[in-house]
Amino acid sequence: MIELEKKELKAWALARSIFGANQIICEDAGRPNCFDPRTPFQNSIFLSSHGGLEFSYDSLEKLVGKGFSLPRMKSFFRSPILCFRSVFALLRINNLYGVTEPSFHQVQAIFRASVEATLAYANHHAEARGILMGERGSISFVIKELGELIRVGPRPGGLWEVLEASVDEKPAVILCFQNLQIAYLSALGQTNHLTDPVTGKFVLAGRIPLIEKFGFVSRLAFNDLPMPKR
Amino acid sequence: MSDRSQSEMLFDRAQKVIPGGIYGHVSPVAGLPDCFPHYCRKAEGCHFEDVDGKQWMDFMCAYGAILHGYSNPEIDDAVRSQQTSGSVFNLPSAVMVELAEELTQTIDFADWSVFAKNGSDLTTWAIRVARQYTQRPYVIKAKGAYHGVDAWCDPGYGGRIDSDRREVLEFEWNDATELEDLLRKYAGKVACIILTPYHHAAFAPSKLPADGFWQRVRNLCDKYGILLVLDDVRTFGRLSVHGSHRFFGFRPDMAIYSKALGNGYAISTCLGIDALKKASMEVFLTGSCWNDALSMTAALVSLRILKRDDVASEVSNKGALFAKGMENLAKEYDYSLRMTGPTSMPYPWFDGDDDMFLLQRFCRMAAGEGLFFHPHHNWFISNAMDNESIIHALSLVEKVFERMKEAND
Repeated sequence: MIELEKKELKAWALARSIFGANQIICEDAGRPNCFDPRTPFQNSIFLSSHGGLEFSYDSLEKLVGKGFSLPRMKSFFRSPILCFRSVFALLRINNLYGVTEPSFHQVQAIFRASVEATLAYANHHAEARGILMGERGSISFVIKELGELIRVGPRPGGLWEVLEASVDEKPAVILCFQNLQIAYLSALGQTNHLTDPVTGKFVLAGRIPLIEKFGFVSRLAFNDLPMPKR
Repeated sequence: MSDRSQSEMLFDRAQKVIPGGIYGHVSPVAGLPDCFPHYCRKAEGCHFEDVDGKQWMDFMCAYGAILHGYSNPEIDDAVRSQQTSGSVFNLPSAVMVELAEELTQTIDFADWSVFAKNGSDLTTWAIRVARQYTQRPYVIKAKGAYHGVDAWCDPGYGGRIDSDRREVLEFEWNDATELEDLLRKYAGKVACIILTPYHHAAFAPSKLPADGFWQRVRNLCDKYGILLVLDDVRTFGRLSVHGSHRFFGFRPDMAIYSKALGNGYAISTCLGIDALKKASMEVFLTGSCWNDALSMTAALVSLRILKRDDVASEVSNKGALFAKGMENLAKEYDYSLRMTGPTSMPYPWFDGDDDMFLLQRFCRMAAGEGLFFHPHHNWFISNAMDNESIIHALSLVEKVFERMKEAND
C-alpha cells in the first residue's frame, strides 16, 4: 500500500467518495459507474480510468465543498462523452445532499461516499494505517428494521475495502442506527461517538475496539475533507 | 427494561457541559449503554443503588478500587476522625510517615515509598526514575497492557505525536524469547520493563504468567542491567497483601499500587529498592492534594484490614466458589465458558466468541437480574461478599443461562 502525501490523499479520498456514491446510484439504476479514479498524479486526478474528468487537487476540493468547480478543459477534448456523463453523475450526487427526507438508497449512497473517504485514509494515511494494522473481521453498518447499509473490512493483504455482505460470514462488529435520519447524519459526520450510543441513536455489538478504531479514522478524514453543502 | 429516567436526565444535562457526557473507563460506551445505569446514588458492601433506585449486586468494585466493600465502616470512621483535623495542609501530616513505614514493612523488596493519587501518576514517574538511574531511554511493555492515561501508554489515539512512543517497545505477554530479542536489539538502551503481574487487557481473556515467565524476565533484567517495574495498580491486595510479586514468586525493583489500597479514597504509591532512592530524588514529583491525609488514613486502615483478615485469601476463595459455579452452570446449559485470570479478579470468556457477541448478551441479560457484570473488563470480587451472596448471584446467573437457552443464543 502506498502512503500518500496529504494533498494527494485528500484528492484520492474525495475521488473515491464520488466513485462510491455513484456506485450505489448506478447499482440502483442498473447502469455502469462512469467513475473509477486513478492514483493522483502531478497535482491532478482523473475521476475515471480512461480519461474522463481531470481535476486539480484544489478544484476537486472546491467541487465537493462548494458544489461547483471547473475541471481541466482538456478533459472534454480527450473524452467528451464520458465527461458529459460524468458531469450529470456529479449533479446527481450533489442533489443527494439537498434531500431533506432521503430514501434508504440515497442514504446508502451518501454513506458509501463517507466510507470510501475513510477507507482512503485507512489505506494511505500513516497514522490511520498504524491504528488499524493487524485488525481482522468486518464492520457492518445497519439501519434498524431496514437492513444493512454497507460492510467494510480488511482484505487478506491488509487493504481496507467495501465488502460484499455475506450471510455466511458474520461481521466482527455491528453498528445499528436507530433510523434513516441518524444514519444520514452519521454519513455527514454529525453524530457523536460518545453520546449517541447512550441516547440510543445507534447501538454497537461485537468487537468494539474495531469500530472505535474505524471511527477515529473516519473522524480524521472528516476533519481534513470538505463536506458537500446541504 | 427498568426505569432509567434519572440516569438519562442527568446524562442529558452532562453532555451539554462535559465532553462526551461521561468519559474514560466509566463512559457508558465502554460498557452496555442501553442497559447499564449511567449514575450511581449510593453503595454499601457489595451492592450499589443507581440514581433511579435500582439495586445492583456489584462485580466491578469501582473497577477494583473497592476491596473491603463500599462504605466500609472501619475505614470511613478513621477517615471521618482525620477529617476533624483536616485533609490537605501546607505540610504533610504524620500519617504519611506512618503509611510509608507500614508499606515498606509489608512489601518485602521495598525500602522507600512515595505517594500520589492515581496509578498513572506513578507508572510514568517510575519509568522516569528508571531512566534517571540507568541513563537509558527505552521502556519495554507488553502489547495491549494498560499502564495509565499518559501519552507513552494510553489506549486512545487522539493528541498523539510521533515522539510520544518513540522510546516505548512492546512484546507479546508471556513471550520471553521476543523480550530477549528486543533486549539484544536495543542492548544498552533499555531503562526498564514495566509489566502487570498478569495480563488483564480489556476485550480479551486474562492471561496468567506462563511457568517460569517471571523468573526469565527477572534474569533478563539482571543480565542486561535494566530495572523491573511492576504495575500492581489493579491487582494489589487481591492476590497477596505483600504485593502480587510475592504471589508469583519474583522480585521487582519498583512497584506501583493504587485502586484497592485506599478502598475508594484516591491514593497511589510507588515503592522501590534502596539502590533507586538517589535516582528517585532527582525526578520531580508533586501534586496539589497528594499529601491528602484522608486518603492516607484510608490506605493505612485498609492495609491493616488486609493483613488482619487475610483478605487476599478470602477474596480468592470466594472468587473460586463463584468461578466454579459460573463454569458449572454454563456447562449445564451447553455453553463453553472459562473464567480467566485469578479467581479474585475473574473475566469470563465463551470459547469461540472472540467478537464478544455472546458475552455482551450474557451481561445484558444479567443486568436485567440486577447483576453488574461488565462485558469488556475483568470483574472484581469484594470481601464484602459472602458465600450466601455469591450463591444468590449464581442463582440469578442460572436464570440468565436459562433465558439464553430459551432464546437459542
